[in-house]
Amino acid sequence: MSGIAITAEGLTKVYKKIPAVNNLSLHIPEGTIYGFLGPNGAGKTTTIRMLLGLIRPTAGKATIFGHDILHARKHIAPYVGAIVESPAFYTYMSGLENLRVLARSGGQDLPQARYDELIEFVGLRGREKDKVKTYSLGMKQRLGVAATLLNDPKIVFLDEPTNGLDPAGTVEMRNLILRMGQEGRTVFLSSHLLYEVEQVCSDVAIIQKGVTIKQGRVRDLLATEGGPGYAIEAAPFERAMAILQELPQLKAHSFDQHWININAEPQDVPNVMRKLVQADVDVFQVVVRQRSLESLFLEITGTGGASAQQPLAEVVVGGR
Amino acid sequence: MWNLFRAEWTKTYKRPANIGLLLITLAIILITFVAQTGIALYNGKEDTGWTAAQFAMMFPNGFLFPSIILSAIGSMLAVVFMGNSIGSEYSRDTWKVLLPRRARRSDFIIVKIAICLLFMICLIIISLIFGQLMGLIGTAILGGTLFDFDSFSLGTLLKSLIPVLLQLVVFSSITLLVTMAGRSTIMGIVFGIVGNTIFNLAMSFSTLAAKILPNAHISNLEANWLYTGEEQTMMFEGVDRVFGTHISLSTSLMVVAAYIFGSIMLGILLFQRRDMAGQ
Repeated sequence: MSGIAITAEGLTKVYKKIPAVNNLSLHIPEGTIYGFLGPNGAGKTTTIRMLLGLIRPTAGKATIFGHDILHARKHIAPYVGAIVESPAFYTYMSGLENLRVLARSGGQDLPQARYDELIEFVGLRGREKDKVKTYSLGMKQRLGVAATLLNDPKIVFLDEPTNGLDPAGTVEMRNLILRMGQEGRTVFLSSHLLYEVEQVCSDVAIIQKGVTIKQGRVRDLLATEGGPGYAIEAAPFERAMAILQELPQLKAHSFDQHWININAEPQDVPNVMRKLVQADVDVFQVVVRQRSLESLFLEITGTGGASAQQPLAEVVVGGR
Repeated sequence: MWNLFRAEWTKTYKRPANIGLLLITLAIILITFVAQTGIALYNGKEDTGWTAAQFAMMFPNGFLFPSIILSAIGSMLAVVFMGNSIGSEYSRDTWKVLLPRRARRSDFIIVKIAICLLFMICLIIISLIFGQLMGLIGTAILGGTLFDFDSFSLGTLLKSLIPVLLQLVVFSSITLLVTMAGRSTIMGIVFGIVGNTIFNLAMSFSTLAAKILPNAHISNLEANWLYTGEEQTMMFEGVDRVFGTHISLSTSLMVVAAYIFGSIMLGILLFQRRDMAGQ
C-alpha cells in the first residue's frame, strides 16, 4: 500500500431537494479491497456514479489518485474500470466483440492475446464468440469483470457484482475479486451481501441516507463495536438470567428462553460459571460468540428490526 | 479518436436495426424495378411503356429511381439511424460503461455524427449500385441497349444527391438533439419524422414559417446549386413564392448551417452537462 487511491470530502448529491449522498467522506488506501455497504437507497450507486464522472456532485470534492474527479478525467480514465449496477452490453454482438468495442471506445487497440487472457481469467473460454443475448446473468457478470479489466486498471469499482448470481456464481465472483486484490488493484466493492464483503474486504465504509456512519478496517470495527462475547445455555433460565444481571458489566441479555448472551473477557468466564453453579444453575454449554459484519451492519443501520438482535447461527463459534 | 470511430462502426454494421434500414431501402428499389419490368412485359412490346421502361432502366438512367427513392425516404432513414444510435445507448444503459473510459464525452457524439454520415453515404452508394444492377437486369429482360456511356455524368449524379444529403444531415442533427434531450429513441425518431412533415405543412401556410424552418432554405440551396437557365428561374419562382420574397443563397446557407451546427452544439452541451443516473 503506497498511498491513497480515493478520497472524498463533503461529497453531496441532491435530487430535487432530497439528498441522495450527504457530506460523504472517504479515504481509501491503495491496494485494498474496500467494502461499501449500506441499505437500499443509502446512496452507494450514486457515490460510484459520481466517482466515475457519470453524475456531477452538488457539492464537495473527490479525487482518484490525487486527480479531481470533475476536472482531471483524462488522468483518471486510464486507471479506472467499473461495473455499475447490472452489466450492460450490446446483446447483438459476441462477448469478444463487446470487449473489443469497449476497449476501442476507451482509445485502446489491444492485441488478441489480451482478450484471450481476460476471457480465460473470467472463465468464458469457448463462449466468447457467442452473442451476449445467449449468456446467462452469471456469464454477463463475468464478462463485465473482463470489461473492467481491459485497460488493466488500478482501481476497479464493482457495484453489486453478485446480484442475481446463484451460489456457485457468487463464489466464482468472490474468487475473481480476491484475485483482483492479489494483483494489487484497489477494489471498491458495493454489495448487499455482507458475508461476502466480510470474506474479501479488508476495509469497509457503512453509509446510510447518504452519510458515512462507520469506516475503517473490518477487524478493528468488529473489535471496537462490542468485541467477542459468550452465549450460555443454562437452566433454569430465569434464575441464571437473574444472577447474570446482577453483574452489569456483563450486559446479559437474551432473545429467547434458551441462550443468554454476555460480554466478558476470557479470564472472567470461570468466575461467572462458578456463580451460576453455586446458585444451583445447570450450565450445559458456553460458546464464543463472535461479532459478524452483518450483525454490526444491521445494528448500526437499524435495518434489521428484531432479526438484527438475534444471535445468528454463523456468529456462534464452536456452537452445536 | 480513430479507435472510437472503429468501435462505433462495429456497433453500426452489427446493429440489426441498421441492417433492417438497408434491406428496406433495397426492397423498395427492387419492387420498383420488378414492377416496371412486369408492367412493360404485361403491356407488350407494342406499348410505348416498353421503350420508356427500357430507357429508364438502362445505364446510367437506372440511377434515377434509387435517387428519387432516397430523396423521398433518405431523411427518414437518417432520423431512424441517428435516433437509434444515440437512444439505444440510453435504453441499453451502455453510456455507463462507455463514458468512464474517455475523458471527453463530446468525442462520442462527434463520432456518432461522423458514423451517421458514413452509414448514409454507404447506403446511398449501395442503393445506387443495386438500383442500376436491377435496371440492367430489367433492360436485359426487355431487350435493347444496356449502356449509354455518353449520357453518363458523375458530376450530375453527385449534384443530384446534394439535396438528399442536406435533408438527412439537417434532420439527423435535429433528431440528435431531441433524442439527447428526451433520452429516448422513440421521441427522437417521432420528432424527426413528424417534424419534417409539420415543417412542410407550416411553410405552405405561412411565409414566416418558411423563412424560419429549414425545408424551404434547402430548396433554395438546391435551386442555386443544381439548376441553370430556365429551370433555375422556374425553381426560384417556386421558392420565392413559398418565402413571400427572394431569399439570398448566403441567408439560406446560414439558416441551414444554424440548424445543423446549432442542434449538434446544443446536443453536445446537453450531453456534457447531463447526469447519467441510469434508466
